[in-house]
Amino acid sequence: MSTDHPSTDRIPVGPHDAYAGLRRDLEVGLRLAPTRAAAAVAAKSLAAILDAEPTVPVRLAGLSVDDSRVLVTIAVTLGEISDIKVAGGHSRAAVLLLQRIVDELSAYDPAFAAVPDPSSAEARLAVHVLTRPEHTVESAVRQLARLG
Amino acid sequence: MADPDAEPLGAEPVDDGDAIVTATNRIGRRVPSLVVDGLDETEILAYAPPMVCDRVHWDTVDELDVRTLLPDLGMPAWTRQWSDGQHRVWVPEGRGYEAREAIRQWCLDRDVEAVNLRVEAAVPFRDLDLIPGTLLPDLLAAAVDWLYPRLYAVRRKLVADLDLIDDQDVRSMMYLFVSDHADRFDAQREGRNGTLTFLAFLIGKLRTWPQDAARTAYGRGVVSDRMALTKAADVIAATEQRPATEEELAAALKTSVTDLRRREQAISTLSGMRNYQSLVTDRDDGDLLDTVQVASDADVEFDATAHERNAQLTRAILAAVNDPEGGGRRAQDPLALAAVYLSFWEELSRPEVARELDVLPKTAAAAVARVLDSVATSGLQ
Repeated sequence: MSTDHPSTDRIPVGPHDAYAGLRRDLEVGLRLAPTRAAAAVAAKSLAAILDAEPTVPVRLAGLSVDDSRVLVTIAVTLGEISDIKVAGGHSRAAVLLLQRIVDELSAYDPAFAAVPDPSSAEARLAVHVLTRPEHTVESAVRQLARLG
Repeated sequence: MADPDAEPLGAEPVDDGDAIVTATNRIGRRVPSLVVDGLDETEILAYAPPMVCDRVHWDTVDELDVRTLLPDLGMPAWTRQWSDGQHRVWVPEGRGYEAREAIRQWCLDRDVEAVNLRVEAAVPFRDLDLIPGTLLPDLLAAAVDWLYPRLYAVRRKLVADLDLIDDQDVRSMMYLFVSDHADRFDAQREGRNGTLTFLAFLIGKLRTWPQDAARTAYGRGVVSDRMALTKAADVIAATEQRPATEEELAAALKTSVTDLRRREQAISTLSGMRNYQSLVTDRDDGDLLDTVQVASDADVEFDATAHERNAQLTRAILAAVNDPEGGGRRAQDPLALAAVYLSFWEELSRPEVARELDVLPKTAAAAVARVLDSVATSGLQ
């Protein structure tokens, strides 16, 4: 877990009142670790769940391989800090989305994870996939699964 | 550059095309005798008639010219350099142990450190130095010319099993192999198809060459593991059209995933020792290596179950912050989830968590405590 780049590092860290007037969102990293054989199916299942819950912002934060697993890390926006503090509708919806992913994709060992450092290889690969029209997450995951 | 697979020039194998039943009861063709510079192989090898000798075999820490030793042995003795660089002296049969002690004493007298002096009794030997001119190298080259294009499977296996060996290395390696074995050729041995030819003798030796070379390079246990792993991966690839999973490879080797990883690490380590140049080179930005998995001293059992344990922990935390029976706003506790996430995944201190969430430190502490209490009662180890 990295301390250099907490998920809120998009907000300058400083004195308490430095946040005044800023919208502050908190992202939570969730990593799926399907086996290579199941990686494409896992990506498709994840996409189906996210399509069904469009109100919670989610982004692909990292893609990598680890021995026999493909690691897909998503960053789920838990909500604005002000919403989180009072258990507002958006942050509760985010918790429910996390619960649904963990329940329905339990075969792929979903687990909380630090949101990857934007300069890391896995984060850059995710950005590459998202910014190239010829790639989809599923096709990228398929390619990763084939890596030796 | 000459095509290594091309038919040889200058050496004309005598191929009479006779059909034979091989030693393994298959129908084959008689392997021809070689003819070099108009002389049949039997005529060439007749210059160096076969003998039965005892062979003394050893190594030395420093360079040693064994020819300087022979006159001092007090018995007929011959030497010949093999490609492994070790020292070998052949003496008449029955005098091997006497020769070994003489060599040991000779080395002691001259402060030469001899390593692993040993005797191999009753081995076939020809003194190939007796063959005049270039007949011997021409004969060896003709043998390689004939063998190389016909032993495709052996060449492929050699390249596949041994790191650092490329296709273009195999021809010269085969020449060295043939040269090393030439002094052991016993032409008088009779088989079911008559007298053994030089090529038939070499084919018999070359059949086990890749396995022997791999075992010499890596050790017996590691090579056996590597072969078993490759075989298991091939079976899965052929039947399932996908790479084998660790679980499947472990099952094929009748072992656990943890033990499989240990064995793979041993193979990888040995391979890495031979491949001192990394196959993966760092790019200019230096970040590519972040994604490369290498064997390490990490606890393999811990790693093997890490994903599963992290998933269990995540389920327990979500169960603590999402209680559908709570009703209304109390059903979900996003503040507790945020506090736990910032504490354990972003590794922020309690005051930092409080500041991030814009709450009092005791509120953040209480939120974390609620989750930890719930996780503790979930029975998670």
